[in-house]
Amino acid sequence: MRITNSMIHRQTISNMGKNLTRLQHYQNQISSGKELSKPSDNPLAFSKIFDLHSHIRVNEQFGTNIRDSIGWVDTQDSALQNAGDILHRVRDLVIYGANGTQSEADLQIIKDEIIQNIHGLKDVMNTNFNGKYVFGGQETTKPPFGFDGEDADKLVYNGNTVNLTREISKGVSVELLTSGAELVGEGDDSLGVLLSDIVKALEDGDQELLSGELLGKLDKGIERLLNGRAKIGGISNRLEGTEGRNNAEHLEMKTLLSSLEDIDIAEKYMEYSIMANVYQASLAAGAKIMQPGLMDYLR
Amino acid sequence: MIVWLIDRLERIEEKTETLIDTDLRQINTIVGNIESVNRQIAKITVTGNAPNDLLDQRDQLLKELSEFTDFQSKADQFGRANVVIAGVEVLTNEGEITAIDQDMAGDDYSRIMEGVKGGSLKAHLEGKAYLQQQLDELKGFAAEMANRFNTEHTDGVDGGHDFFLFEDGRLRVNSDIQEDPSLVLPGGNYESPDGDGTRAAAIANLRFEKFLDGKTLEEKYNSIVTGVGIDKQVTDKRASNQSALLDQMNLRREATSGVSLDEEVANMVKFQKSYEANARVMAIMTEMLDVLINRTGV
Repeated sequence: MRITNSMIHRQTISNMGKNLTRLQHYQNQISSGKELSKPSDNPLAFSKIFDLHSHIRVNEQFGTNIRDSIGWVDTQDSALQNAGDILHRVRDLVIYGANGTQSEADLQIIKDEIIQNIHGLKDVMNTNFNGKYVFGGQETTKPPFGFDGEDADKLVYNGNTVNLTREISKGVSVELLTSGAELVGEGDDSLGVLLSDIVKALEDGDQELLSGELLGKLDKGIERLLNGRAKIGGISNRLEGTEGRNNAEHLEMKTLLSSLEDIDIAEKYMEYSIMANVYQASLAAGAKIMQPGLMDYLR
Repeated sequence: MIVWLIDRLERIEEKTETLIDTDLRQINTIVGNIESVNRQIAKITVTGNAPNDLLDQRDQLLKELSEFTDFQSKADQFGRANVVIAGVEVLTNEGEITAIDQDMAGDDYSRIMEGVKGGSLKAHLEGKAYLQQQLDELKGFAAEMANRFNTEHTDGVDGGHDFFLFEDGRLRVNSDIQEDPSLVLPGGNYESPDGDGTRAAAIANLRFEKFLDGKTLEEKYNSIVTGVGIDKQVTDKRASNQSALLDQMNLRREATSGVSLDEEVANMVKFQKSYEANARVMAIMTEMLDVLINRTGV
C-alpha cells in the first residue's frame, strides 16, 4: 500500500485519541471510586447493583421497624414493672387493712394510700413512647386509661383491643401486646372494678370481703399482669434475634455491593499507569515519526 | 423523579423534531442548488463543450446531500443529475423540484420518512422513535404504579381521595391531599384509630408484589434502565465499528489520492536533474556551434 504523510498523521492522531479515551476511563473510575458511572458501562453488573441497592433499602427499613419496636417493647416492660410494684404495694395494704385490729382512722389512711396508688397505676399505664401511648390498642394518640365520671376511683380502659403489628422482615410481622384490656382485664373482671371494690370495702370496714374474695381476685390480677409482662419479654427476645439477623444480612449485602461497584484502588492505579505509559509512548513516537522526510536529507 | 425524567425525555424529543426539520430544510436547499448547477451544465453541454468545473461542483453537492440522507442519482445525456429519495423523485432530470414537506402529493411524505435508510435524517428519525418508545414505557410504568397505589389507598372508602393523579402523562399527588394532608389514609377508613396502619402496610407491601408484567416496581424500573443501558452499549460498539470502517476507507482514499511529500520531492529532484541535463545538452550544442562557426575556415 502506498503510504502518504497525511495517512501517518491521521492514524497517529486517531490512535492518540483512543489512548486518551482509555486513560480518561480509568481516571474517571479512580476519581469516582466506582466501577460504573452509567448503565451502559456494564448493563448486567448495573442491574445487579440496582437490585442490591433496593434490597438494602428494604432491609434498612425493616431494621428501623425492629429498633422502633424494641424501644416500644422496652418502654412497655419498664412500665409493667412499675405497675407490678404498685399492685404489690396495694396487696400489702389490703392484707394490712384486712387485719381486724385496725382502727377506723387507720383504715382511712390505708384507703387514701390505695387511692393514690390507683392514680399512680393510671399514670404508669398511660406511659407513652415517642408520643404514642403504649397500652391503648390501636388508639395511640388518646390516653387509654382514665376514671369513670361517676365513680372517681374507678379506673376504666378507653382504648381498643386490637394489637399493633410491625413488619420486621419480608412477609413476617410481629404483633406487639398493646391492648391494655389484655393486661388489666375487661368489664366486671377488670382491675379498675376490683380496686374500686377494695376502696369500697375499706370504707365499709368489710374485712372479711377484703381478706377473702378481693385478695384472691387481686392475686389473679397481679398474675395476669405478670403473664402480660412475660409475653412482652418473649416479643422482645424475638425482636432482638431478628435484629441480629437483619444486621448480618445488611453487612452481607453491603459487602457484595462493594465487591460489585467499588474499585480496587491499587489495581486501577496500576492499570492507569500502564495506560499513561502507552499514551506517553504514542506522544513521543508521534513527535518522532512526523518530522523526518526526504526534505531533511537534501541539500 | 419520574415526572422529571418524563419532562426531560419530552424536551429531548422536541429537540429531535427540530433536528429532523433542519435536515429536511437542508436537503431541500441542496436539491435546489443541484438543480441550478444542472441548468448551467446543460447549457454548456449542448454547445458541445465539457463543463468540468460545474460537474465537480455537482458531485460535491451530491456528496453533501449524502450526509443527510441516502438517495439514488443518475445523469442524463446533458449531464443533469436527478435525485431519488426512498423511491420518490424529488428532482427530475428535466429540473422539476418537489420540496419535501407535509404538503407533498399522495403519501410521498410518509414514504420518504419511513423509507429513508441512511444519513442524519434516518438517525434523527430513529432517535425520535426510540425516545417515544421509552416515554411510553415510563408513562405506562407511572400510570400502573399510581393505579395500584390508589387501589390500596382509596378502594372501599366513602369519600376517599385518590393519592396520585395521572393526567397527560404527568404523575402528581392529588392537590386535595397536598392541601389537606389529613386526607391521607393509613388505616381502614377515616374513622379508624390512629394506630391502624393496614392500608399503609398494604402499600408498603406493593414493593414485593409482581404486578407489572410479572415484575415488582423496582424490578420493572431496573429492567427499563438496564434495557436502555444495553441499547446504549450496542450503539456505542456500532459507532466505534463504523468509525473504524470510516478510518479504513479514508486510508484507502488517501493511498490513491493523497500526497506523499517524499514522492513529490523525489519527482521534483528527478525533473530538476533532467532540466539540468537539458541545459547541459544546450551548452554543449552551443560550444559545438561556436567551434564550427567561429574557429573554422577564415
